[in-house]
Amino acid sequence: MSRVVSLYLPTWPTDRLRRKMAAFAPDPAMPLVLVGQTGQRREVVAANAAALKLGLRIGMPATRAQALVKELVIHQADPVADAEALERLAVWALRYSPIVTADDPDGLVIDATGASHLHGGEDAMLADVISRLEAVGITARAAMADTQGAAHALARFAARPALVVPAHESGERIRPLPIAALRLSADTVDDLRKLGLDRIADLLATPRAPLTLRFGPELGRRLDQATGQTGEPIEPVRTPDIVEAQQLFAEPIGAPETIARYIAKLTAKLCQELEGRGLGARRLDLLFGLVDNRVQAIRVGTAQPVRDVKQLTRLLCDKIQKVDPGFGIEMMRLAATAAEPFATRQTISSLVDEPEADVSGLIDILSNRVGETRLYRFAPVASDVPERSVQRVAAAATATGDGWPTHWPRPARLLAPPEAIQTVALLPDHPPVSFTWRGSRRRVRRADGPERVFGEWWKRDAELIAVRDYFQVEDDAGERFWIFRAGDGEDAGTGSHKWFLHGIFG
Amino acid sequence: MTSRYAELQVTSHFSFLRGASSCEELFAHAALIGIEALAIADRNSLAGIVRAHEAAKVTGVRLIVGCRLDLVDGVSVLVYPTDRPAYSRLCRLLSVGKKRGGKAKCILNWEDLIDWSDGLIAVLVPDTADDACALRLRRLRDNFGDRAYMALTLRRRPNDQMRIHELNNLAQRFRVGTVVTNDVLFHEPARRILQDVVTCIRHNITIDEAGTVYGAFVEGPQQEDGDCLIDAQRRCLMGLSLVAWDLRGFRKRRH
Repeated sequence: MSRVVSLYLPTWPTDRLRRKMAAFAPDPAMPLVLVGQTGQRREVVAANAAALKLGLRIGMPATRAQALVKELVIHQADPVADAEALERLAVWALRYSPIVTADDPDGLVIDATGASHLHGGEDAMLADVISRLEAVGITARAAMADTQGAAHALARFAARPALVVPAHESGERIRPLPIAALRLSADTVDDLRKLGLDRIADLLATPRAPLTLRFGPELGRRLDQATGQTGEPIEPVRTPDIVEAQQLFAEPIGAPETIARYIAKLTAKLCQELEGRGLGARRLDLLFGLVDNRVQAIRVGTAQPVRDVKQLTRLLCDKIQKVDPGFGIEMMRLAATAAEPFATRQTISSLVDEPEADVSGLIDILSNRVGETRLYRFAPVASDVPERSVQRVAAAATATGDGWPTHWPRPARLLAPPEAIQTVALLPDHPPVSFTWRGSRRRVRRADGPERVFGEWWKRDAELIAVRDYFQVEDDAGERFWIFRAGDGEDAGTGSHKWFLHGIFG
Repeated sequence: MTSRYAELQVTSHFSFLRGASSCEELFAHAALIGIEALAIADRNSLAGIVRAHEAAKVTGVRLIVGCRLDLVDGVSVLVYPTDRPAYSRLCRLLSVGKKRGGKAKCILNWEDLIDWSDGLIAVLVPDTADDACALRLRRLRDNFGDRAYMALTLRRRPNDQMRIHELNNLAQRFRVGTVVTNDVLFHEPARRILQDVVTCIRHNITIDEAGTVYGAFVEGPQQEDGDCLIDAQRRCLMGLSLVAWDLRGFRKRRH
C-alpha cells in the first residue's frame, strides 16, 4: 500500500511575493491581492488571508476589490514565476522522500511510502513539513492518504492543517467531501451539481456508464484514482546534476604539497566532466573528509564560468592554508555547486586585432582572497542627487552604457553622510565667508555657486520641495571643498538652512 | 526703497509640454509677491496672450506681450512688439512659420525674423559666451540696432557666475544692453511635480529613468535689479487693451 502526502499551499502566490519582497513586503495584516489579466478584464487571481477575511474573492474584478477595501495592496500576478518557485520548493521537499513533484498551481505531492519512519512517523513528518514552511512564511496544509487523489482532496477540504488517514481508510474518508475535491474541470463540477450530485458519495452511488457517456472518461478516471482502483504514477522532480569528482586515500594525507597535487588531479577530472557537458564552473566546493569523521570545506567562486584547470587549481590552492588536516584526510570531493553554460570561443587573430585583456582571472583571485563583497566597481546612475549618482556593481558586471557625467566638476571623494559645518554666510545666494569643519576654521577665498539640486519627489514624498544649494569653495591654503546648504535660503519648507560639507576635491 | 522688477521670460501652459502654470495662476502669484509686470513669452505662439490679458485686468499686474521664437538654426530670441503694427507683424511672422511647418511645428529662419522685425524688441537667449554666441549677438545688433538686448539668466549650475560675467562682457563689447530674466516655467514650487512630468512626456521617458535629462533651472519670479531692464520694458507694448479695442472695431467692420 503506498502512502502519499499532498501539500496544499492556499496562499502560495502572495506568500511567494512576500518572501521575494523581503524587508519591503507589506504588513501581513494588510490585505494583499495579486491581479492578472483574464481576457479584457483585470481580475483578482490571488489574495492573502487578510484580504479573504475582508470578503475579497478570487475571480473578482480588480476595480471592485479596490472599491470594497480602502487600503488594498495590489501587485501584478506572475504565474510563471510562481510555477518556477514551486519547482524549487519541490526540490527542497526531496529531504522527506526521493519522489516529490510539484502539483501546479498550489501544492506538492510527496510519495512517503516507507519514508515517514525516517522523520519520526507520519504525524511527526506532516507537522515538520508544516512548521518548517510556516517558519519561512508559507501557509501550508497537508494530508496523508493511500492515493494521490485522496490526499489531494483531503488536503484541500479536510486538513486543519494536518491530517493523517490510516492505511486502507481513505476510500471511506473522501466520501463526504464535495466533488470539487476530485481535480475535475470547473465546468464538469458545475454540471454535476446541476444534476444534484454534491458529494463524492453521491457520485460513487451513481451508475458509472451514463456518467461516462455524458462527461467523458476523465470523471471515471479521477474517481478511480482517488479510491485507488487505478494507479497514478508520480513523475519526480530531478535535482540539477552536480558535477563532482572524488578521491579516496588508502593512507590519510596531510602535507600541503600532497593536497595541492590531488587538487590539481581532481580539478583536471572535474574540468573534463564540465567540458563534456558544455559547462563552466561558477562556484567550487572542495570537501575534505577527515579520519575522525569531521568534514572541512573550502569554497571558491568565479566571476565568469571557468573551465581552465590551471586557473581553478590556483584558486583552490590559495586556500589550502585554511584547511586543518588534523589526523589526516581520507577523502577529497570537489563539486561544481554552481555551473553555467560555457561555450568555446574562437580567439581573435593577433594580425587583425589585439584580443581584449581578460581580467576575470584577476577578479577571481582578488575576490577569493579579500571576500566577494569587498571587491566591487562603481557605476554611474543618472541622478542629480550626488549620493544617488553612484552605485556599487559586481566587479565583473557588464557596463550599463551610462557614462560618467563630465560636464560639471564633481569631487572625487564624497563624505557619507555629509558633515555639518558652522558658517558665516549671507542669505539667500551667497557663499559662506568662512566655515568651521572638524574644529578648524577656514576662510573662503574663492567660491562658485549656487548649484541647485532638487529632491527627487518620485522616490520619496519627503523630498517634494527639498532643495540643496551647492557651492564649490577654496580656502586660504588652496584646498577645495564642496559644501551645500539645505534649503533655498528663502523658504524654510525647502530645508533646515544648515550647512554641510559633502565632498573634497583633489 | 523697494526694487522694481518685471519678469520678461514667463512660459505659460500654452507652450505645450513646457509650461506648467496657467496665466491666471502666474499673474495672481506675481501680484502676491509684488512684481510690476509679466511678459508672457510662449514658444512660437501668442496663444496665451488673451488669457494673460484677462488675468492682467483682474490682478492689476501689467502684461507685456511677448513671444519666444526658436529658430531652426538653434537660436532662441524673445521678441516684444512695441506697438500695434509690430504686433501684427509678429502674428504674420508666426503664420509664415506655422504654415511652413505644418501641424504643431513652426519653422522660422533668421531671415524671416529680419523681414518682420520692424518695431520688435529682440532679446537673445544665450547659452555660453562662445564664438557662436558672439556671432549671433553681432547679427542681432546689426539688424535690431538699439532694440537688441541679451538675457542674463541665473541657471544655478556650476560656473554660473563666470558664465554670466563672460556674457556681460560680450554684451558690453558689442554695446548691447542686457536684461535679467528668470525663465519662469511655473508659479510655485509645488508645481514642479507637474513640470517634471510634462518634461518626461516631452522626452518620452518615465520619471524613474529621467535622471538628469531635464535641465531645470526653474525658479519662481524673484527680485533683481537692472537698469536696462526697466528701460526695455518701458518701450514694450503694454497690455493688449490697445489691440483688443482695434480687434473689436475690425470685427464690426466685417459684419
